[in-house]
Amino acid sequence: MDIGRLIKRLKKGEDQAFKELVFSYSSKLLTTARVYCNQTREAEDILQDALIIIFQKFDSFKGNQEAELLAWMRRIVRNKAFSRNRKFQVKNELTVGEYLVDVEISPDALSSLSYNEIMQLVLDLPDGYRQVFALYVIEGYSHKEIAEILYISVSGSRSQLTRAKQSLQTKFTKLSKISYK
Amino acid sequence: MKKEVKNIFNQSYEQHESKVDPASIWEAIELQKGKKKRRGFIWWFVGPSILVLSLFAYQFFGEENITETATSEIVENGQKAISSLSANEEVTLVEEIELKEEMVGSVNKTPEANINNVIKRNKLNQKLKPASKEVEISNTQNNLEALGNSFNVKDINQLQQSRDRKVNGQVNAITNIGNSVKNAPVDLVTENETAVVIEEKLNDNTSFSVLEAMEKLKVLEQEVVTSENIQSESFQKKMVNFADVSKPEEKADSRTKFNLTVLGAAGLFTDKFIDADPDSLASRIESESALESFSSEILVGIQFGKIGLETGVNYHRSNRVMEWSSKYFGDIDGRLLYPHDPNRINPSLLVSGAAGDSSQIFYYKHTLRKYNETHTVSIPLIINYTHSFKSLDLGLYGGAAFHLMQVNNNDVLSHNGILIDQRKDLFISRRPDWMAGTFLDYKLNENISLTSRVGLRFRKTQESKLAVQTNFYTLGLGLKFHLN
Repeated sequence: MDIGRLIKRLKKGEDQAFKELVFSYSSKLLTTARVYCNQTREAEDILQDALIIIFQKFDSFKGNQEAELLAWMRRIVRNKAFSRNRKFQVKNELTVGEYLVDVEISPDALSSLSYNEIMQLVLDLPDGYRQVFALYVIEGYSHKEIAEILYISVSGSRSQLTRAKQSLQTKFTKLSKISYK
Repeated sequence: MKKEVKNIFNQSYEQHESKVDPASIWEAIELQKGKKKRRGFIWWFVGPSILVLSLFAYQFFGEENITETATSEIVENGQKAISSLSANEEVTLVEEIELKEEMVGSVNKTPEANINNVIKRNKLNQKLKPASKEVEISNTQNNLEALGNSFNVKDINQLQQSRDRKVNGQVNAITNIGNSVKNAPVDLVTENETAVVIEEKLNDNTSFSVLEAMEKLKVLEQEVVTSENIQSESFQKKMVNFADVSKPEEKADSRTKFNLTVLGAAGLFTDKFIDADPDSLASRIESESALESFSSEILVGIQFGKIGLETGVNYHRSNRVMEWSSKYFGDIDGRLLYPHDPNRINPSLLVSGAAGDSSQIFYYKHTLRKYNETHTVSIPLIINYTHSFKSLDLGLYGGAAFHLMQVNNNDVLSHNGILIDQRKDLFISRRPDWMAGTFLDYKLNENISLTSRVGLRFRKTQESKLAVQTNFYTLGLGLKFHLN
């Protein structure tokens, strides 16, 4: 696919180009929606809303590379998911006083798993864990920034991340053992 | 976290593709886009209305133009024909009138009648210069046909059936011809044509207020007119001064008229919520949808020529639906395991519980719906511009409706999703509603008109920090009683 040409056609507002975009990038964008939504069922709604915004606001996209396009679209999907989450005010704070021990995920635990399996385990995390984990590990935000994005406290962000890592480590270990067997 | 681990997660994220059916996503997007397009229903509403009004206007204005053109052609062609008469040739007006009356009566009748007319026309043409004979025949034929068509179809039959209603139209026709005669050099055929036209009218309109002027023309009918005696003093005295012909319609227009209008209207509307923080509006935007609006009003109007003022009392009602779909997960038997979206309209539906085995979880949705009403009583103040044509009054109006009171029978969701009971909430909005539109009145008789209005009404309501801008699109029908 000639991405430069597709971008030009999208800027002209061609419906057919938008259809091509939807068919080419829906699956990747749905992953983003699933990472940041509160429920998997919501992910497709978020994706649809985000795609319409993408189409309407395509003029504001300045890049001409596929990576830039994908990053821009993912940002819109993510923002849409957060905006929707805020509407329903679902908070995923941990109980105050809960004792948490930070863990480190071992690269060895990941080595036996495919990228797809790893991502599937991330997607299976509870909402709060998954969102904080993705923002911190994948997007590279600080806990302060995550707290602002998710309307939670900084300590809440830290604890969610710790719980996410604990959960993932446990799952990776189990899966590694199964695969070794 | 180690960089190596972060990279693995990044790669997993970048390369992961969720299972999705792009076709269904595309279909849903198209549906959503279609919904947004349907907001253009305003133009489906206003567009046809404008079209209908335009057709009405074209129908009636178009007919007027045809009549005027035919009349002016008669005069013009008649002038050309008679200008070729020599001094000693004469044509009696009576002869011409008789011929034309028969032609008028026989146009579109039988071939025999048409043949007789041709013979008579030839006799007439023998009195004209041979050099211009062909032109004259053709002109006379055209004139007669035009005259015949216009009077047969449009005037003569209708005059007999509805004499009174046509009086104004006749005066206009006579006056138009009269002005042409006045402005043109005095000549025989011009007067003939004028006389013929008036003759046709007079037959059925002895009570017509301009009869005095017409009587002079009656005298002219019996005259033997030549190019010489047309200049004589005695003939000139008998000429009608068309400037003297009064114009009852204009007099009527200049009079102050009073009317009473009773109107009912229905329509659709849209709401636009305005607030500094869009997120805080999410609950209302998500939950409220406009349904329809109704109004009824009694207006008293005063008309000064084309400009009019109206005021009265207006009752207006708008209906909305507020609904919220709560989503939750449960087991196969429908027992709730945990809620997803709490129901904002009735939070008691929210059931807390522990997450169950995900392999047995099913998705459930429950929608609650409430209907809201807003009632408004206001005093409208309207200014209008009217263009009258025969039985139709076509015009534009604009104005404001000043609120006497507004009663909300509403439940709304606050920015944080809490239900606010606004039922029986009575207040007076300081902001008037603004109105504009077009109207078309059809006179059923001298006292009553059927009136229709297509209009827009804009309302802005301030609720604390929140402003709601509502646009109503209405179609109204009613009766207008002319009080004098």
